[in-house]
Amino acid sequence: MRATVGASRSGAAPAARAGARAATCPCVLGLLAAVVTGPRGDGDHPWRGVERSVLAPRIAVFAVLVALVVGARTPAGRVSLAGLTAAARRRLTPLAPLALVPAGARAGARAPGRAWTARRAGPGAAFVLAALAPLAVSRAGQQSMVNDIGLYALLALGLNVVVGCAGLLDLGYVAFFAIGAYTTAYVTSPTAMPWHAPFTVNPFLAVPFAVAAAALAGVVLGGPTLRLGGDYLAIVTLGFGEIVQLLANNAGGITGGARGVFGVPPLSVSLPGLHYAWGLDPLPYYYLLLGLVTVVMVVFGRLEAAPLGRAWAAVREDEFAAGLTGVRTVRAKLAAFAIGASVSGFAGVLYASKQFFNPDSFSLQASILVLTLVVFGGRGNRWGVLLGVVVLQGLAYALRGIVPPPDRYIYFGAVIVAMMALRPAGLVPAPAGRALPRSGPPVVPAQPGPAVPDPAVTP
Amino acid sequence: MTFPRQAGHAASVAGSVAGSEAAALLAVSGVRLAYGGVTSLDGVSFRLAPGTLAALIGPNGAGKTSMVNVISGVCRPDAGTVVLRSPDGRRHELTGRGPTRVSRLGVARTFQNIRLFGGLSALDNVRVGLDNRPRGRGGAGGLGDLAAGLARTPAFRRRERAADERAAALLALVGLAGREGASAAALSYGERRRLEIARALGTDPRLLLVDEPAAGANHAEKQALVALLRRINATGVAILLIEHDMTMVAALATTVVVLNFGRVIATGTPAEIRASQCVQDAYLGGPVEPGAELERPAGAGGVARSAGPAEAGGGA
Repeated sequence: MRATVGASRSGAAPAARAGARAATCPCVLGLLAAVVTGPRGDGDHPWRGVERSVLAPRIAVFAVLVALVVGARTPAGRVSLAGLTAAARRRLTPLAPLALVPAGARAGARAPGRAWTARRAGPGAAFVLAALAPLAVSRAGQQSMVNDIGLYALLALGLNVVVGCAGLLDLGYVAFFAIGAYTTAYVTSPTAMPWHAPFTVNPFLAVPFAVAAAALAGVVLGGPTLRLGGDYLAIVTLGFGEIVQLLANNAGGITGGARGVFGVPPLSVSLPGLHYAWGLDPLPYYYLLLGLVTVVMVVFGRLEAAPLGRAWAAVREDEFAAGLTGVRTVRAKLAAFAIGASVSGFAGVLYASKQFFNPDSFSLQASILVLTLVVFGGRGNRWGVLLGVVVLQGLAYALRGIVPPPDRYIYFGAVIVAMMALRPAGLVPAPAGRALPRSGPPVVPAQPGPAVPDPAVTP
Repeated sequence: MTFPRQAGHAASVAGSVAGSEAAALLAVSGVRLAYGGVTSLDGVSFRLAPGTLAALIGPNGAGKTSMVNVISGVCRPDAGTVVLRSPDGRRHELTGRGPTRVSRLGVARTFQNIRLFGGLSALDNVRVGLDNRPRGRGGAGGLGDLAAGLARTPAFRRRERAADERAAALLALVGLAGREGASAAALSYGERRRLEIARALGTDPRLLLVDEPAAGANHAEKQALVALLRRINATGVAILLIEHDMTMVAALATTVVVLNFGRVIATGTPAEIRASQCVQDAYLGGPVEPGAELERPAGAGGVARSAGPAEAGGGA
């Protein structure tokens, strides 16, 4: 009886109630976060904590986010959000790099002649924008673009291969970054670490050592564990990350321990007729990173379109069926692990050559941050990952003067909650794969068997 | 009628399926598979001729899917062998090879519960199969191919384009022309079934195992499916159809192997199978005397199951 009464009610009131219920939880959480992270009151000013917390501008940020999340979940909100997204897509398609991945692929399929310009215009525009951007910001901003955006873009692109393409959860990704950095210190300087190689090389020549060491570590870690399911892998990589950081911290006689590594020579090029050293100015580092990110983007774009990329996607979607379709699943997963690790090792070289680092840089938090960037941007879509890095790390930079550093992650959390509600697959979700053969659809079947008349199935 | 006699009957006709083992594409002999206390396959033997169109039938729980799992390398049997013979006459023991090797030797399969790569387009689903053909037959793999893919050499592009065209042709063959770009998850149920077949054909198989392709299909769809399987068979691919529906099997197969309780109870042409008393009993519940299970020899399998009319649910 009660059920019938409930069912016969009009839909509007329950929807509103549900909306209110949904809003209460984030409101309370937001309030709590504001109070907990705000300045403490004391005996003389018992209300100061509350005043400064609840009346601080940050509460407005939370209020707006809550309104967005709740509003987007109501039926009206969903409709208008869909409209907004469609309108934005229409407007952005010709120029925005984010819309270009699917749009470019489609254009490429339809008009082979115009495909070249269509496919390259967006990335080209993004490149020019990225090249000009540091000229418009302060020196501190440039520094942040190198350390927080450039390096993390490399790391996130590498992790995207593991997490996004092959679907393997790696929670200790920064360990490979550490291995790259320590390998660089080992081969480039006799004084940076207690242990050093019998020879010293230019940091650029340390790249093959670092990449090989990181890839080898990836294979050694992945070899025995990649046969296991996803959850085991997450735990094993988590443990691996911790082990590497603990080793770096505690093996003082080898790594220098907690006091860190100091004195890795800066990057330099020394060829006949050309001599250049990267100094303290962030701008040359930025352009170096821009070049490297571009190379990584191109290489990974080609990998994703190659058989290996499809094998990764197949393993991610259904490993069992992939194996039965002939995919060498363990080999594909190992390749993803090794390639992801080597990009991380590469980033480690650049990081080490900035003169100083210590084991704190390779904490679990750093691994989680890189994973967050990948998930936020859109797993499996390298353009999305790049955008995710720019947006989230840009947000961290924008917040640096306003919010105390430990609070930053609360805002990260809020933005990510909003993303989960509004765009669950990331800022720019991965496209579902290619549509038609690049040369247009062939109509004739390759092996048209003799025309067999359709025999009626005898009932 | 007791089971040991039926098994004996099967043994007497087993030779008629594909003649001698030397001529057989696939020879299954004495395969036994037990899950804990349940014996799923109990000494199954049959042979398939190259290019044949055979069917494996039996009531629910007879061990049909277990047999497919053993052939495709998913399950390793406790005893017995599965041997595939390549056109050059070499014997390949499939048991214990693992699914990837079996697939690369030329045995493809579809799944009773559809398992596609949902996030990939229909075209790319088929491409995964095409990428993993044996190396000699157009497959890619190894560091050289990886380097070619990174450099996008002309040879690589040519091969990619050829594979794309082949994938589109296979999609057209199964009636999915024009759906190349749709993500596999967005296809309808029937389309997904057919995409599975196209993906399996992508691996360029010599034997295709089709596990209950007509489940949930209506009469017209079944007819289309029969025509499709015939077209595939006409290109030289041997097909082993696992099916409940006797009418469909009769319209399609030249040879039928009947399983019940993990044993081959009959083998022959569809007409012979229809006439066979023991098959009718297995499907419809024949004159099973009370306590018939108890008469079966110890270790004969099926101990955890109950025999009887309640279980015979086939579409006969």
